[in-house]
Amino acid sequence: MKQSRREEGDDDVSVGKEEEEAGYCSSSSISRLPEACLAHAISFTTPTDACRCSAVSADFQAAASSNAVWERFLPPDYHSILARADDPVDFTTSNKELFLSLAQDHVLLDQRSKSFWLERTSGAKCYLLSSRSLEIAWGDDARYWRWIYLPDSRFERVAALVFVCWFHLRGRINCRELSPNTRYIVYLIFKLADKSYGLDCRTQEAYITMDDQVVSAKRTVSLHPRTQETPLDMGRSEEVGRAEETVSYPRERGDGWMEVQLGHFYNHQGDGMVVINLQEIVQLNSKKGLILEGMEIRHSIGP
Amino acid sequence: MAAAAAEATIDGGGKMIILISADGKRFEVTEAVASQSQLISNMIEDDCTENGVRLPNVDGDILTMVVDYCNMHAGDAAADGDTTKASSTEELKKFDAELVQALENPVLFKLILAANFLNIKSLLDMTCQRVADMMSGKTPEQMRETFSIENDFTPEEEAAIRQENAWAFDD
Repeated sequence: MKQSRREEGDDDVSVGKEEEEAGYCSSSSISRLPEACLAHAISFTTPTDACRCSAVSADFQAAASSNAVWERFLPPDYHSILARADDPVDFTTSNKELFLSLAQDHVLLDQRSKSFWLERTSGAKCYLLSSRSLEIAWGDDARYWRWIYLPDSRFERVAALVFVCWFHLRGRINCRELSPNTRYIVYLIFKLADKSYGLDCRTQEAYITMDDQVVSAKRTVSLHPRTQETPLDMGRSEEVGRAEETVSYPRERGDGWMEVQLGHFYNHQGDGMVVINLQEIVQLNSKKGLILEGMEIRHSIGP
Repeated sequence: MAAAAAEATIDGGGKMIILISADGKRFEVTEAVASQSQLISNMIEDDCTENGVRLPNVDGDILTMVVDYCNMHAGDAAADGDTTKASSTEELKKFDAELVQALENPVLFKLILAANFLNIKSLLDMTCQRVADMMSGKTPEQMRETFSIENDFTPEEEAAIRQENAWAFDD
């Protein structure tokens, strides 16, 4: 970088590069910022803000659609994650297109054992662990669980409960697979067969641990929708109201599946194994008719 | 070679460099302070700072802020985790917060241009973060108002952009 001998005040810059781009620093409007600077600022916002920036002006649109902005919204390890995709992912698109396609559609990973996508407003990594990837007590014994094909499943096979008393599902994911400094909620994704019963016992509980520390306390989970008369074996009637508040009930998702919350946790930066449990191993009543898509771990948006 | 030179300045003494703004103001700073600018750091490496560094892109009032910032952060950048640095992290945070919060938009944009031109990453990040905070959660109309931007889209163009990412526009 050579220094010039030009007079002070000379508009022609003597030091630096891309002079026209950088402009003379007396410009005082945001529209005088080079596209790279505006893009740098937009990259500190969120995908939602960046999409809104696109509608401000042509300059904003160019900056807000740039690869630099969306590279920052994509997870830092997206290349290695997508290398595990079972069907090839198109990398020839712009980063914005790649981001939006991963937010709109899921990608199957690791021999179709889990599905992966991005939460659209934050870019947080989300997963659905297939029933095949869960540890299911008696899951390999055809007297208790069957593995069936369902056209509306993301996976090749889903677990269908024939009959058990001892009910225990366990899902695992490493913290590194999740986005750091992000709050996650975990759901069980399932359907009920026509003749389902026994999946709403008071002692049917979910909890989550991270490296053996409980991060989401035990909660009662009913897989049957809430009805007028509480189906739970509550004992004295005055306890019903209090107990009701702590019970998770399922809701329809609109894609043919139901979901019920199993708990939530905050993922700090670092290593560690998250283990999600759903179990009824106390009352051991008979249970039938659960069709299990898997456990979904998604970014908790909102406060 | 550059690393050795920078080390010498941290240990006290150190060479001084003259920075000259567009309007002819002169600032005398140590090499350690000046080399937070990647641009100037490269010039130091190339040995071409003897007669002062002219910055015809940067006004004196903006260069004053940049030099203040670099003075505050000199220990920071050079020591790199060393606890012996002069300014505490808390003090620095307070200084940075007060610096960007106090800026009027036109000054903020000039400071971004200067940080970009001089290639001072931390200052560029901090000032761009301030702009991001002003964008955050706003509608396109509110952003136009905040930054005094003219809408140069036709109604059809704007509608198409909103349509494309409709999810980002539902409140």
